Amino acid sequence: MPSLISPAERDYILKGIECNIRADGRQRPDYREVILETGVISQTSGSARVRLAGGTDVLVSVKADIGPVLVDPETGEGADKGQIICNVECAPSASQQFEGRGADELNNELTQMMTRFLSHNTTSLTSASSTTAPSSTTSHNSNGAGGINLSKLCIIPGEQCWILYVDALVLDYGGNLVDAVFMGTRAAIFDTRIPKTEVQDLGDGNFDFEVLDDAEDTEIVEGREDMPICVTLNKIGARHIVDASPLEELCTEAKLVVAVNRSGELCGLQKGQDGGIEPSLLLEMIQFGKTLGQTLIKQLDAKIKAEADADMVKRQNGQPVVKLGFFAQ
Amino acid sequence: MLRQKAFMKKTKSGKVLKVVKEHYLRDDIWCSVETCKVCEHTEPVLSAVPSINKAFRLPHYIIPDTNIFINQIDVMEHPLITNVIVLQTVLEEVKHLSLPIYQRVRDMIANKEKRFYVFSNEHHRGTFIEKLKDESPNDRNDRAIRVATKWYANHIKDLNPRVSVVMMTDDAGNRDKATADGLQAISVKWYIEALDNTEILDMMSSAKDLDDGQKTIYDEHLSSAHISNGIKSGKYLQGKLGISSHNYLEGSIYTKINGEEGTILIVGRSNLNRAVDGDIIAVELLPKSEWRTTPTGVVVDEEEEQAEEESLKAEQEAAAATAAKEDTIMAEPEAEKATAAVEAHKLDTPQPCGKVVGIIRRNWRQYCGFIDRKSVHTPAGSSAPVNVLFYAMESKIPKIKIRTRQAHSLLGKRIIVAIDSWPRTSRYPIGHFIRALGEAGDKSTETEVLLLEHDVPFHEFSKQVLSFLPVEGENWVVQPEHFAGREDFRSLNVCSIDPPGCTDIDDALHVVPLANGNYQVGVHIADVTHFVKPGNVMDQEAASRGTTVYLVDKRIDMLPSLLGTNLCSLRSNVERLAFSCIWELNKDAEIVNVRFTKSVIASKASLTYEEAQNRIDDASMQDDVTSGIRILNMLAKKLKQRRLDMGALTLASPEVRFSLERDTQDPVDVEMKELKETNALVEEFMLLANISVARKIYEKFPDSAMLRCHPQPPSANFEKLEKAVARFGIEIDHSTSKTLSDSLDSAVLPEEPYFNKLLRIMTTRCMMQALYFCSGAQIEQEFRHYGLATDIYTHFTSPIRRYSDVMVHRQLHAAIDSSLSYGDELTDKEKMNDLCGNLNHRNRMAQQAARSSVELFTHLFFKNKTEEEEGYVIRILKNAFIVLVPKYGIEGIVYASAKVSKADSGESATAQPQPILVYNPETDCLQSTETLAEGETPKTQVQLFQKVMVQISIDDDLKGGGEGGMRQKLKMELLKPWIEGISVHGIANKDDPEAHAVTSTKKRDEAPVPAQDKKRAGKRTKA
Repeated sequence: MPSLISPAERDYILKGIECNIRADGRQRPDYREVILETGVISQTSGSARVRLAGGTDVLVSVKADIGPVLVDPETGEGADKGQIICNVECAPSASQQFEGRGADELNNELTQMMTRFLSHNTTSLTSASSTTAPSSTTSHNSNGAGGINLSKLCIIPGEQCWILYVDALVLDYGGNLVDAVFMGTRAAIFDTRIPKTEVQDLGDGNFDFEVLDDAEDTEIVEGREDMPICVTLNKIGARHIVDASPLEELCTEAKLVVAVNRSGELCGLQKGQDGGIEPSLLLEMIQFGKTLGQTLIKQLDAKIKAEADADMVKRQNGQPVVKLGFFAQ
Repeated sequence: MLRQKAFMKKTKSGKVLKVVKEHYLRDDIWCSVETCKVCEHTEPVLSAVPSINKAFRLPHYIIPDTNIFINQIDVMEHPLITNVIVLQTVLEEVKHLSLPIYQRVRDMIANKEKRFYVFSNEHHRGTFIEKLKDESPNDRNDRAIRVATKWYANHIKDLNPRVSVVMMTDDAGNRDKATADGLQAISVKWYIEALDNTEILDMMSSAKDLDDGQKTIYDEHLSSAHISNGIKSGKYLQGKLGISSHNYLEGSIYTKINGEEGTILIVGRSNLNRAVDGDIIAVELLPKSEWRTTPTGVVVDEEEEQAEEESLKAEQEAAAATAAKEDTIMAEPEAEKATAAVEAHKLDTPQPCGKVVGIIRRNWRQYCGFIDRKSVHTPAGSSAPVNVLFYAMESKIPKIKIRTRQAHSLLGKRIIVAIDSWPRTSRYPIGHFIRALGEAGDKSTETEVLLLEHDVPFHEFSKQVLSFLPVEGENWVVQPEHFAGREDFRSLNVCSIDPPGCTDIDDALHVVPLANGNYQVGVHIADVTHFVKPGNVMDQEAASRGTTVYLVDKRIDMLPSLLGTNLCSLRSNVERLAFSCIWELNKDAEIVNVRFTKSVIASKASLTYEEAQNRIDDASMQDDVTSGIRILNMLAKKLKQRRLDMGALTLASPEVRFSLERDTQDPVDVEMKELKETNALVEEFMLLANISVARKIYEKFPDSAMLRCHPQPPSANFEKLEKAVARFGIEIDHSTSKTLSDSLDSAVLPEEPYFNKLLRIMTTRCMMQALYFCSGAQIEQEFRHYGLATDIYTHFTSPIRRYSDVMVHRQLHAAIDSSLSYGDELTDKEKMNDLCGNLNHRNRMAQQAARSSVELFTHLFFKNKTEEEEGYVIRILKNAFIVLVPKYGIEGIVYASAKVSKADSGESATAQPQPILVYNPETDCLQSTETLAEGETPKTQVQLFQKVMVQISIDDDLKGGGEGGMRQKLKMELLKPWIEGISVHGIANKDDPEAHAVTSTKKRDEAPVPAQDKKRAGKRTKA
């Protein structure tokens, strides 16, 4: 990934976008080809790998573990909720800039964004991201911005719950990281199976639970359909584009990340870069992001469903489910 | 081909792991059928012409499912069942469900004659299956079995001669599916029935059929999570159930109650809730109001009523006719037993009582016993299956309900039975027949029974064990290279003194007067560890046997006899390797110095006690050996005196020895054991050696030395005895062993010469058991040996017959030879602790087995005999008393109630026996029932130490009511003093049909503990 761009290149891209022709031949609202596969890491509870045709490669894994519930000391909330803990890491091999501590800031930004968008709660609203100046999140549905029903992740209220560790590893960088990470996360959560638990009442207000050892006898993560994905809109000149390539990102004056769920509800919004966006354009961009996001979700869901169905058929026939995994081209 | 297998796991710390394993499929797993040409197996397991069963047209191999092994392992072990294909799926499931059964399956697989072949179907390309969506693991495994069966069926269908496979399962659904797939499937029952073999039919566990399932008798057990949580929170207490030997409806656990160690009583059938002796159970304390203050029969009466109620109810139920019969029969002896057994002494503080809420671990084993004749209702010769009740030899075990087709042929025989289950709806546990041992009362059968019952390993030494013997065998001699690191004591006048007929001589002695007037004294112990190297199979076998077991007519060796009676045995006039302990003693027998060394000796003489005694007494004998013995004798006396001054106890036990007829080994005479001066001689030096060695190894291995302690008995043990002797104006001060020893010495009644011995016998019973322990596991103050009055003690002198001594030899060798390398078996505290636990257990079992053997021979001796003998009352029970007959060393119960004969009691078979004498808790004696005025003594009373005349005979018609079949018991009947209703009229009136039930039970008290330390008790029991 180049860190600098020459004025000539910048001019070329700028003019091209003005004419609705981008350097790689796409139009402004065009996405690159997305390659997605779920269930690529067998040790995890759920995993997915997302690649954008230009090079961005993100591996997301979800690991379900058991831990104590996190109760807010002020409000007392959270006693009956599970948790989602996110982490994004850019592999040093993905880009020259990520070497050493180069990716720290980006890691931090992405991790916080994901935490806010997925496990929305009051505390994340007030905590401002270090790298973003204006930030705002809004929630529309009952399960919070992330869509996931955290109450279902609770095993013994006040004591034990499931904690979903969502780890995204950026293997290669080819622009538009945020969208890829969120697509991957959504697909990985879709793939996640949480073991069933049986809670036993031991009397005296004591409870214990057993984890069923069958890897097949599991539950899905409830509310996974309502999880948002992100559409990043880059304002270049007076126009905005989606799915920017690395060079296009360098030309970007202002960036707007729009998180949207399948019903078109706005789940989160984050503005980046130094440039400003006029109010009228901002509204247009949000509206555009919402519409595009919704279509994207529909397409992704159809693909994920098709894959799950194919796996299911194989299982029912007793055939082994073979994933392409890292052998896929 | 690579597949993956995944499963979830919850770790101890509460984390959840998803374990994913790679699973490779192969195409080189063979079928192992002899005639198969396709497969490339080299040593086929399955024979060309396998089992034949008339249920099938072709000879076939059997493919059982998991539950067949789990539920019917005894059937599978039967020699008739061969050519079995054990699928890997099945084997893994068995391993997961029950390790002991898995081990038994493994043993069968290893047994070439059984022809059990393990087919790795999970790794076979053609038989591996993926789990289907929404398929339970069980269904998946059942399917895997079917797929494997199908594979076999296709694979062998063209073989010549023609064969087939049969899937064996008790799951009807699985059978149907198999049949739909075109496979042959059968249940165990059909298969076995088609074999026409009653024995194997009986071995079939049929828990479901036997469970009448009509009403729930017991409370449900709590789940294991509940229990572990309850134990954590202190709500429940955990312990190992010990059932009282007098009353199988009363048990106890020893545990910590509110931080204090104590015993919790569990009384009655419903409180015991299906727990069997030895189970690890969880107990909930009952409210204090239900604790027992006096151990009267209150709780037991309730039990009785219940039984009665049940039996009446059952009678009304015509349908359950047999069950009713059983219950009525049961109710009577139970009631009698329960009340009789309750020990009656007043307790000042209420004793905590509890009830069983759950079973943490079952400790079921196979039980020896016999079938209750009364429970067999079918006419003789019938071979229809009947439900019968089984009595275990061990009175702590409840009756077991079994189903048998050979009830009549098994009557009067000793049989082995295993418990399958104990459902809530069944009064008794449900089990199945395993095998018959032989006729009851037969000496060899009974000996086998007692060995089995005491868990004594008595199988022959395996070839593997024998392979560690020296290759020279009997021709082994001391070679020049053996002298490396050994001192040459061949020139010394070493001799051994043992009981007559002793072949395993493990100790020898010598003495040499020194120029300075002192004496050099040497104790030479057989150097067993030269032959038994740590960790090899022979060593492991010896460690697990723990000790040699001495029965009246045979010996169960710890080491192969080549070592025990030959190469290690310090026989006269052969060179032998020894481990020597050499002291310099002054004239007063005080130790000047001591050293230990490995050596080579050549004993000059092996003497019996009698021969040695004669040599001492015969003034004309002046040879070196004899004068040596005289010096040793002199020193031994001084040692003994000093020991007694220190407070060592001289206790006694009524030990007898039998004279056996040479050919039949039947007992012809009984005599009390006699002790000679020379017994004490050997004993003193062995004690000295043990103490010296104990100090040495403790110095070298402060954390892991194998030592032996004898705890001080708690004063509660003496309460009753003190009360009893107070009557004679005698006081027993047991605060230290010294004061106890002194009070025993002064307790002499001139008019009753046996009194002192009797008192010593009873004191012995108040003692604690001496135990092996690892020095790191206890504080130094607890090392004390109470009986021997020494602060440290171990066992060093009998390595041929005790494994503890073998360990001590190794530790001593490491202590004296700093260049010796040794493994962690000498230093690992945990391992040492475990070993001590095993040795203590084996030791206790060996003692009990020896005692049972004596008891068996006593019974044989009294067969067809009736003797009148003098005896002493040694224990008072609530409604009975125990009499000891010194002449034969036997004990028996004399009941103080007249039994109401069945004819009189009519309908209610459970009527209370009429008490003739009642227990008076104040005086701890039994007295006649008339009302007494203040200060008046009752007309008749029975009290401790009272001399009585009893008539002894064998009562073989006690339980189960059949001739010669059952637990044979010594019957003791009172002759003098005459008490109406209890006493009998001597031999003349023996046949009186109205003879009141005056019976005896086995003696079960512990043997004298210090006695077996001081002397070599077991050894002396040998005839």
